[in-house]
Amino acid sequence: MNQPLHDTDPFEINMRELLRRHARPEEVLRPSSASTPAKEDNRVVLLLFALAAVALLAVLAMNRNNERETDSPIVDRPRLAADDSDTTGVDPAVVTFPEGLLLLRAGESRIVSIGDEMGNYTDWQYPDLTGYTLADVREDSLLLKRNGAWYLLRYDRPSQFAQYSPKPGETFSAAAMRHRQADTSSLTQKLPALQYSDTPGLSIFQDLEQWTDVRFHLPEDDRLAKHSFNLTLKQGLTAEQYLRILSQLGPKKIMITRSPLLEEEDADPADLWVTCEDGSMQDAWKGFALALKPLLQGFAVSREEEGAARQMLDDMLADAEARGLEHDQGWESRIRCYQSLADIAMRVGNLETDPWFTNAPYETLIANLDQMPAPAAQWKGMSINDAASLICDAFAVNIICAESVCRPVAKIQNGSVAATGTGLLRDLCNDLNATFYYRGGALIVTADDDASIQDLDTYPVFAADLAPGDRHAPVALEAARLLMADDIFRRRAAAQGKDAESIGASCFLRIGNSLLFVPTFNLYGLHNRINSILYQYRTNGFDRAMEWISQRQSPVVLLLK
Amino acid sequence: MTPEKLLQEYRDRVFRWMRVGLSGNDDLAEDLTQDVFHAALKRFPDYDWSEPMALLHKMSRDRLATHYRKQGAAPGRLPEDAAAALRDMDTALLPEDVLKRAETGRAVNAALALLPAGYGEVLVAKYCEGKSVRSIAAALRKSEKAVESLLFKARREFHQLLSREAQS
Repeated sequence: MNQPLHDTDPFEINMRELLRRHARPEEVLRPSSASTPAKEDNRVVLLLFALAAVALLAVLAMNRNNERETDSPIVDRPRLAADDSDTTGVDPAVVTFPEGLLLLRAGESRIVSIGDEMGNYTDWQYPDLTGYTLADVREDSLLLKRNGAWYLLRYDRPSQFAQYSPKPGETFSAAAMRHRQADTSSLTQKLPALQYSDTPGLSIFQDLEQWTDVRFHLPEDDRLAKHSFNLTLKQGLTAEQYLRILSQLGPKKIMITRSPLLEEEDADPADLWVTCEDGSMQDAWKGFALALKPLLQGFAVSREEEGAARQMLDDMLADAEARGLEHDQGWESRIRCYQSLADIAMRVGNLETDPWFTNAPYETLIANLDQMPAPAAQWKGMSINDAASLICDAFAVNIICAESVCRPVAKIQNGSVAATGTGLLRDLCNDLNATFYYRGGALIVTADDDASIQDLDTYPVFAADLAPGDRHAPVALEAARLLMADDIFRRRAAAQGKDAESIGASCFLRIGNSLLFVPTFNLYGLHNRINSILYQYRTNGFDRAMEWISQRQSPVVLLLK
Repeated sequence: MTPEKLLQEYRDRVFRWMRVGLSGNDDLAEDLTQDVFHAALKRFPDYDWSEPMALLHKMSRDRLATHYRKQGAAPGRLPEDAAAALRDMDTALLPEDVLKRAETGRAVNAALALLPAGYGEVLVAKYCEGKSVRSIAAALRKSEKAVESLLFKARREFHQLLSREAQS
């Protein structure tokens, strides 16, 4: 087949007819329904953009008038095109380019931030542009103005943002804005950007200089090191620069965006932020996270998070009391139970900063559980099953609660269990010679002592028959079998002619300081479910992720909150 | 080819193909995709993975056919002459009755679903939305030459997949 180039070519004509009549890109070009952002969210973003557009049109017009009135003509400085028709019908508030959207809020005559189509602004990738006035939008850069000086911001080199000396006779036009908007509107119907939030530990490292040798902290795993290295290259930043940006984030969200349209063989490091598929990108992030391992040792819960959680609990209690609910209706105990769980998670999550836990080995923590504050003691006095049903109600999720894994179990190794009521874990440990340990607010299940906590952040644990080399597989499979006493799962299994023991893949998933057990029949379902849960969590937060899970009726187990 | 690479590169394509074949039933598509990869990975060393997509496509078709056999109803197939017309679409214009068939639409979307990442998007931009190579290149921030190369490969791959779909 020759390459068809002309409209008289039957192949070209046939292609056009076939695709125009039948193609359903929304269905066949996206990986799964879970990856589609909520329509409501899109509407809000579009509305915001529309409002910003109206404001920007007005201010741009005003700025143009001001330029004409106050600027004397010079040959060595760019000028805005005076042709008003250039902007007719144009939405100049939003400039779309493959890695996201640039939102220009003209009401303040400045660039606000750069984000993706979901409105998640990636202002971390770019310098603070407050106070700069937009002068021109180009294919590869923005021209900005401040205090009479010109500045150039290249999309692919934001770190090189610097003052700019236009060439003699150089001109630029606001029409470029329309050009970009018109040409990319449909192509940006890409997969939503992944969002990584709540990066732990970063905010505590204020002294950047000590991390200039980050390249020497690359992980031992060559594959991960490569991902990390590539990520740094693609960003056009050195590791040191990257760290400098990250360290300024504090608790802010981190975005990594990608374009699905670039083939690897054609890839130009300047073209993309990250070129990987979803899974690979998680690898890339994981590699980078591991490169920063010294930074991630502590899993502190931020004061904001803790404050918000406590406020929510207080509100729940106040609401119950306001509605005149009697204590015997279980409201108070339910809330107290939740409070206790949150308290435990937060305290253990703040292991390295909370004076109560400072320097306390895990075994000591368990031995001293009775000394924990009152809510914890109250929690301890409840049966696991009662507590589980209360949590189930609180989060509206399908919960299968295994005795003992809901407790803040300390390090349990080779069947030597240091906490009470841990029959399940003890059995597992005995059978599998596995290690269960509790760290950072999450119960981590590994088959050896060397696994890092990041292992369970993004990697599902595959069952033995699917990934024989995976060291986690036996543990996950056995845990899945033991935990699968739930009716929902049994019904689903029966509907497919399977029994509950045919679980093919499952994993423990730590998100934030919570731990989920995700049982599925086999590999694709596991991957899809993990991605969906992570996507929901990173995009909408924990509660929305739980809500999504409950709507899907996926038998996901919330083990620890 | 490694099991990990197989999963990473092909799972979404198989899933999308299943979804087309099952008229958008995501849950069932997910389950059948699981079955395909479960089988593929379980006997991974036994297979020749020199053409992974062809093999996975065959396994997927088998599972979909099994599913429809159990259901007792399957989507209609393209007549042989229509399938031949799609196979020869690079040399002759497609008849109107072939263009408007529902089975043709299903084959088109199934082929799109199986395309590597990026191919489908660029074809849609070119043929559905009528964008020029220049505008696509600008949108992708690539050279026009790179986009032409991408389009060429996408068209070729699409044609092969469509021919296969039409005959299956």
